[in-house]
This record gives sequence, C-alpha cells and structure tokens, in this order.
Amino acid sequence: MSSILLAVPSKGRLEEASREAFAKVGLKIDRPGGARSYLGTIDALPDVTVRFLSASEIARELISGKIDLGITGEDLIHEAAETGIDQVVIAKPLNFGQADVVVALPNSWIDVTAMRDLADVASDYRHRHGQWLRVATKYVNLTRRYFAAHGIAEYRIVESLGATEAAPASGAAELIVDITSSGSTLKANELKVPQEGVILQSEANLVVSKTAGWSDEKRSQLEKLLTYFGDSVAQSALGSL
Amino acid sequence: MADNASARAELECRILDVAELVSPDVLQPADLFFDLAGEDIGRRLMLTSGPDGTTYCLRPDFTLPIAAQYLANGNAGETKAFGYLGPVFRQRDHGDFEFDQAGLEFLAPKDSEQTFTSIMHFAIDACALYGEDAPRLHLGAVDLFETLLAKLDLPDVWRPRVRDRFGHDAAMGRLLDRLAVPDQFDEQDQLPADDDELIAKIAADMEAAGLSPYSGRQAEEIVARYREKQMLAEAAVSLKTVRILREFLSIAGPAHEQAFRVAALGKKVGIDLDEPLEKFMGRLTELKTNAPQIEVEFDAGFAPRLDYYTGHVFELTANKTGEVLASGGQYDRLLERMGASDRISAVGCAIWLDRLEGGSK
Repeated sequence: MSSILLAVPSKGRLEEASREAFAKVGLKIDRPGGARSYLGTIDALPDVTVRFLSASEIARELISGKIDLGITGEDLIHEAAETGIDQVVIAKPLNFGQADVVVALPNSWIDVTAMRDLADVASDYRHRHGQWLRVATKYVNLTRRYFAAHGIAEYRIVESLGATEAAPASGAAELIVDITSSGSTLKANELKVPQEGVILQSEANLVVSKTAGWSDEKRSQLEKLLTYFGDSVAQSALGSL
Repeated sequence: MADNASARAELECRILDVAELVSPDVLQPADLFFDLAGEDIGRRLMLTSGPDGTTYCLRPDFTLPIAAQYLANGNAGETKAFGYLGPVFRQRDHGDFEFDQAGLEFLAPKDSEQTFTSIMHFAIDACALYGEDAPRLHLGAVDLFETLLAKLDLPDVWRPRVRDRFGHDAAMGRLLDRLAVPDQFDEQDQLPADDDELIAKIAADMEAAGLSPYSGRQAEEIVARYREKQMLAEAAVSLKTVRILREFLSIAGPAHEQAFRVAALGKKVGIDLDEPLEKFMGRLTELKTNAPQIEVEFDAGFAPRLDYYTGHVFELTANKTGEVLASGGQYDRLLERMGASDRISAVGCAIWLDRLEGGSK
C-alpha cells in the first residue's frame, strides 16, 4: 500500500508551531523516537508518513517531488529554484513564521526613500565608481526578479549565507536583501527599508508538490489530510495539481 | 531545399571566406560576463565553481570570450576578423539550454560603416541558406538617441540615467513619468541647510553606523543627490524635454517613413540630428538597392540593454514566428570597458542556428 509523505520542520520553534497547527485541526503528530528520530506518524491518518527535515530542505524536496507535501516558507521555495513556485501549490498559510524579505540600505542614504531612488543610485554608482552597486543576499532569485521589475539593472549580487545585515558595515556590499520579522536587527545595524522595499511577505505554509506523481490513491489520501484544514483547502489544492 | 547539414557546411565556408574561425573555451570565468552585463545576465548563466572558489560559466555567447582573447593576446588596435560556430549555454524559458550559434566579430575594422553593411548582409544571406529569404529587418540607432540626449535641455546628472534605461521601455517610461511629475520631496527634519554641514553630518552618521568611509557611497554623493532631488521637486525638468523624449521613443514602423519623422522632430524642436540621420538614410538606401526583398522597420527605442553598443543595431526576425534569427550591431565601447586603453571600434552578429534549423525542418 502506498502512503503519502509529509515533511515537517525538524527542530525549534518551527517544529513546535507546525505540530501545534496540526494538533489544532485534530491531527496529532507523534515523534516516537524523540528529537533524534526523523520519522513520525499521525494516528488519525495511518496512510501518512511524517519526516522531519530542515525547512529549506523541505522546500527543495517539494520542488523535486521527493516529498508529497510539507511545511515551509514561501521565501524558501523561491530561493530553492527560480521557477520553484510553479512546481508547488501553496495549500494553506499556517499563521506562524511570519517574516518579510526586504531591501535594506544605510540610514545615512537620506536621498533614498523609495525603490525608484535606488534605480538612480545604481546607475549613478556605476558611472561614478566604475563598479556595480553590490547587494548582499541569500535570496538571489527573488532579488533578481524584484530588481528587474523595478528597472534596476546596474548592480551585482554578493551571495551571503549568514549575518547579511553586517555586509554594508564590513564593506562587502552597499545594501542588502534579507529576511526580517521584527525589524530590530535592521535597526541595530542602522539600516532602513525604502518604500516598496518589501519583496515578499512570507509565512509558514502547508505546501503540496505538483511534481510528486499523484496517483488516484495518493490523491484521495491527500484529500483526506487536507480536509482537516477545510473542504475548500482540499478542493482548491487538488484542483491545482 | 538544402538540408540543415549542407546549409551549415555552406555557412561555415562563408565564415572562413571572411574571417578566422575561432573556438574560445566553453568554460569561461563568470566575472567576464557579470562585469560587463551585471546581474541581468546572471540568471541566464550556467554556473559552476572551481576548487579555489572561482566561479565559472559555460559560455553564454561568443562575443565576450572572443574580445577577451583578442585583448589577452595583445592585439588591441589590430584589425581582426573572427568567426565562430558552436554551442552556447543559457538558461531560458523556452528551448534547450545548449544551442548552436554562428557569427562574426570584426574588431578594429578599417571602415566600420562598410563592415556593418557586410556583416548585416552576411546575416541576411545566412537566413536565406535556410529558406528564410525575406526575414524582417528591425533596425535601431543608438547613435541617433545618444545625439539627441546630448543636445536636450536636461540637467547633466540625468543624461546617464536616461541612457541606462534606453532599450528597456518600462523602466524608461517610469523614469520619464518621474521627470515630468517629480515625487513630492520629503524634507527631512533637522538637516542642516548648508551643504558642508550636511556632508559632515552624514559622514558622522556613517561612521557611527560603522560604515567604511573608503568604500560604498560617499557622504558627498549622498548629499549631492539629496539636493538634486530637492531641486527637481522645486523645478521639474522642462516638460518640453520630456515630450521630445517620449515622442522620439514612440517613433516605430516602416523605416523610411520613420526616418522622416525623426528629421521632422529634430527640425521642430531645433535639435540638429543631421549627422546620425544621414548615416541612417545611407543605410536605408543601401538596403533598398542590395536587399530590396527585405522589409525594413525602424524603432527609435530599440537597443540591446548593454551600454557598450554605440551605432546601429539590427535584428532579423522570422516572418511566421516572429523569432529572432540573427542579431548584431556596432559596439565601440566594449573593448575599452574590458581594459583597452582607447576606444576600439567593433561590429558583430550572431546567427541563431537552432531556430533556423528548426524552422526549415
């Protein structure tokens, strides 16, 4: 008998909140081996196998179809692959893990209050310094798409995998694109978000993979699971597969 | 009709007739492309990295590797004619990521006008080899736009910004909107009115935030742009200038008529465009004589969004599908951008073999 594979963040606050979100609709996720185990079960749904993975791994595996559905952020889906968002269905926002992907730049740039200012600055910077304006980020795909939509072409991305907010001070980049939930890290680093500088408002979502190979049997198992979150959630997700 | 293999063999012969056939490494340092084209090209590159952390890409075109090789060999300034035929690699929305292109790159040609003409005819003839006898010819004239821009009544600071948006209709449209109706200027509280004091204050803020005074945007440039915004809000760029730019950029259609529209516009607003116009009319006359079967269109806003193009640019498109079959142009700024000590003229074209070969099947 086949079963469907549900991936849940493996640790910390995201794991807790994920299990709470499922418990709230009557689905208790058990992790028999405790934090050291990477497999779990749901008593009410014996056809579902639960795997515990990191949120970014969940995003990658949903896109490639190695897992059927999982809990992860939209930002991570975008970052895992440029057209990744087309390979999945966002079935249900889960109301936790809220964070924005934003453009942030030094407070001392008093001439920049909106994204359109940044277009001028990027252009000027290249002519004045003979170099590209540098943007530090781990959100390469989102940044490219957003900057292109704002007509900003004169810049280069510096990939940053941690402490991105320090890049302007360390001289690694002139500005950043980063995720922020409270804004306090930006504030502490004297950075501000210009108007239209919010690229994506992300939160944890229940996400279904389109590429996972949906037999009739798996579809009905999926429908059963999603119905716990409401009939409309199940219908619209299955309709988009 | 000739099959693809014999058409390709014939094309290769024609390249060899006029140029030295070269085949630059498939694996190229990615910086070569990022440095010249910025992040716009980034999403198209097939990237990989070496053990020492250097990022490489599979060549996305031949032009830059050929130009880099020319400079590396110490040929700067020497007249050279290169040709190529082989695979390039780009991520794209439709079609394989690996596809073949052929083309010519003439560096430091003795007569760049003449060279442009022969390269354009080479491209027209290449299409004909595959049965595309009368593709549409789409012409652009970077020199015409640059001449207009240089002579417009416009604060100098805006000229490069406008130039950077050339070839990108949406971004240009937004910029012109903003010039015509500037944003309301939010005077920021408690900023000194005196420039020197303001610069000192910004520099102190930067220091307090831990920003290096030696890299990134300097206090002077921030203040200069702040004042400039203030001035723009108080006295917008003349509406006449914005109207001229809009009118010029809207000129598109059958080339001959459009040339007259450009001439009329120049005359109406008192801007002398005679020199680039004469060159453009010469191009049209030549085409009418030597390629009468080709329908020529001119679009005043058409340009590759790469600021090393300087003169005329062209695209040949399939009548049925509208796909670009060949493209080319004059790019006199490229070699200088890449480190040559002087400006060196250059003209080239690329033929999209995958589309021509697909179309004739």
